[in-house]
Amino acid sequence: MECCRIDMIKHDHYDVIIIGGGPAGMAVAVGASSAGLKRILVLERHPRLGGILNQCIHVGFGLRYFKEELTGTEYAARYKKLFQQAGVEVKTSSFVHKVSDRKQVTFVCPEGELFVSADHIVLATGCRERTREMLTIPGTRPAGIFTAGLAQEMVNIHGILPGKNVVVIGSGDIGLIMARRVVLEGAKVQAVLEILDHLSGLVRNKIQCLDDFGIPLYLQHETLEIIGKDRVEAIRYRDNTTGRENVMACDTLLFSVGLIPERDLLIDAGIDPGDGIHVAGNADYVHDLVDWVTKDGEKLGRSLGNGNA
Amino acid sequence: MMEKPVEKKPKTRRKAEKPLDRDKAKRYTCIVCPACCDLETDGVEVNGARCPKGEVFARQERVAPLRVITTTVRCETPRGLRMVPVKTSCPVPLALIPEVMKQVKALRIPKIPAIGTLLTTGSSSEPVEWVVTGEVG
Repeated sequence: MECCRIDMIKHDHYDVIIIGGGPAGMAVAVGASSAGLKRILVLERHPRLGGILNQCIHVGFGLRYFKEELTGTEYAARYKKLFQQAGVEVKTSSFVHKVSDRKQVTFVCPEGELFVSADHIVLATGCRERTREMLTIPGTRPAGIFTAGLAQEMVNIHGILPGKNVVVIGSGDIGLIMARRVVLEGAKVQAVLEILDHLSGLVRNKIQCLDDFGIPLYLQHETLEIIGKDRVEAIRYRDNTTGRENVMACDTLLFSVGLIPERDLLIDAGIDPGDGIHVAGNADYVHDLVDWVTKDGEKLGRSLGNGNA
Repeated sequence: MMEKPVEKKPKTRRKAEKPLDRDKAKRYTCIVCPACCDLETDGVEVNGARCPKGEVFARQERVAPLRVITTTVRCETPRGLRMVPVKTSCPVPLALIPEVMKQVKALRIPKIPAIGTLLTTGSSSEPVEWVVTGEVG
């Protein structure tokens, strides 16, 4: 039997350790490498690099950075090439569960638990989606409630349609993109309900995702209750312009109600950014274009190499 | 922490308003880039575009809207089902999207293609060409 190749890491101390191999993490690595840093390690929890771009099959990426309209997956592949040229060490399937104030990182990987330290630690962990629980919408807890990004992963990576009769709550870009996506896959989208008096996402996404497919956008509409025993059956909502309440039948809810920078590693350790601890990309603040994530990340990476951080 | 970069507008300035045929004029929001310019066109002249792509978009949108379709194709590999991301190699008429989606949903590929591979659906007289847009893990 052939022996397994154990893909251990090369050093126990690095110039920079980057947590997250999405667009931000790759960009920091490219920047740091271009500024002359040699020992750079990227830790990625998934088996492959690319982060959220891997599930973004729609177009609208790269106009600013590559001067060309690409899908998210194309952007990831294109940037991965630049990243590979930088010759950075990568460890995939590696989940960081602890960062200490002594700049030590603990992670779990197929070989077990490893410790490693660095002069600089960069959190490039992206963000999380706000959930129904965070909105404290009353009602039952049936199946059929998803965040838009989770639905995106189900459809685009796993080929599973989350439901047939969908209501999207919140008008963020991922919700708009997913409204179109599930319609293309054969579902019906009743409406997009937005509590605010304006669209959260980009206007171009309302046009090409909702208007093109005749999906109504209801502004100033508040979701009051989720109804359903085993599966979502309906929602009760209120039109806040008139105060009138109504019920809409559906079997699936997709929430697109905002993103929260993912910094639990720092929060758990009780440490703030500064003094060799850095935050990049959407873990810093939510960017509306990946192109800016890349540019920001490269800039941060270069500053680490130039000793300006 | 870094400063939030400001969305840079394309360098070309908004041109002076041209007189439009008011009976034929229609308004659109450009979807070519995130700047989302407000456009108005009578089919000949276009107002409001910050770049030439917007002018082309407005004239086209008035006649027959075109869209690039992005979706996935099922690929049954020995390691299980993989979804291969694809896009149409050129924009297709909005009105044809249901038909084109029907074609691509019926498509099955036996092996994971490389990024950039071309696939074809539809009849030989009216083929639709697709480009593989991602590296499938």
